[in-house]
Amino acid sequence: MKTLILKVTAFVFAVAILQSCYPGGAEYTSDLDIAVSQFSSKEDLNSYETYYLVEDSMAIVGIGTDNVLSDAEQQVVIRRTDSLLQNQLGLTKVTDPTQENPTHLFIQLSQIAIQATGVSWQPPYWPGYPGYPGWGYPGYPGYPGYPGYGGGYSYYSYSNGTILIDFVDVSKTIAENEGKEDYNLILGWQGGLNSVLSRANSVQLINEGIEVLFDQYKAAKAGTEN
Amino acid sequence: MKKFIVSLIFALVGYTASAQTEFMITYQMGMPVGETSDYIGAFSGRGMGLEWRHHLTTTPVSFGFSVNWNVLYEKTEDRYIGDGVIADGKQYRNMNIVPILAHAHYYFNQDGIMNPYIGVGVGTYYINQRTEFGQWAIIEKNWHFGLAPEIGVIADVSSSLNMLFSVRYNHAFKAGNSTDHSYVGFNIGLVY
Repeated sequence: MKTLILKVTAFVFAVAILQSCYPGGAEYTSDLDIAVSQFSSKEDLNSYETYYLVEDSMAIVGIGTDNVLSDAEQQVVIRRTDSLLQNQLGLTKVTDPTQENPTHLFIQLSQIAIQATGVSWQPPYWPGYPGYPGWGYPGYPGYPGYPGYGGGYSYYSYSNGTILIDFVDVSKTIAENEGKEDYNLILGWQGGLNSVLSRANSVQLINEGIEVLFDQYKAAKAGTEN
Repeated sequence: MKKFIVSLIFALVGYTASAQTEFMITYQMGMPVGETSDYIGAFSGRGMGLEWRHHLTTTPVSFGFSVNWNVLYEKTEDRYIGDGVIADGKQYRNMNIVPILAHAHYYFNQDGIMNPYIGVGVGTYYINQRTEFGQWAIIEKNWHFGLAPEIGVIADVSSSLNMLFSVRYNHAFKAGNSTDHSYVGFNIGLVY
């Protein structure tokens, strides 16, 4: 009898060992959706009042694959973003900025459809800022630092299915690049949406994600905690 | 590694203890407290332990050694706000904790049917902390120095089998980039 109890007990614990290392995890692709944003300072966010949005198209990294938004889908996302910039964030749109009458923010949407981890990247298409031809993306600062816990590690990665929204701080960028031939863009805020690629091409999900990112923007601007 | 652990368990339960030595196998539950509860607040029913105790003949004291394994888990959708970073999404937080401890216990009624005791464990806590977020996981692994004060009782339920009930406070001190970790363990076991 005692031997039987011992064997049963050992078996139960052996099963427990095999089953219990990581008891939970994502069950559905929707469980993998994340929205991350980073910003330089609360004061900078509060200083932004006007924006110029690149409306021709999104910058697509991974052209040649089938897993990117179509031109029509891009326009839906751009239109929605434009509306949210005004209605959710309270920013004023500037359609024809010049060096004499600049806007505070220069905003570009991008979609990444390739895998690129731990490296900076340069969009293949940059439409140019009116009055500032030749701006590129050298020194792109990278995807928002991945949050850690207790001072833990910080990962960053561009991944299939990432949507980026970049808020370029125009005045800081001009000051930074005074007298230089190559421009470095200074970002005041950057938002990223990531999911599996099949979900990343859902216009509805992207629009919902952009609302979440802009809610993060408002939280950062207000300096709220959780 | 898993095959090794399973083999080890079968080998150990087949070990015939001497009159002065006890072997214990325990089912362990855990309640995170302190800074650990900020990360995972959920009560855990996943854990086990193996322990040996060698009793002194002249005093109601034993010295021993244990290897334990506790798993803490919680799913959360809390907004993360860090230094210049805000994030939303589902997080799957896991902690696999392996306390390896040397113990000393004092018994109040060693020959009785109910034998209460107090004790303390000293040793190391290996903690693997894993946060799954989107398509990534943040993994942190550290060996912590730790202490484990404990109270419990050994009950004589039959001529050949005793049972153990104990409450053990586990405290692993800060190591690496990790904070202190602590949890209260509720243990039920068989004593051979």
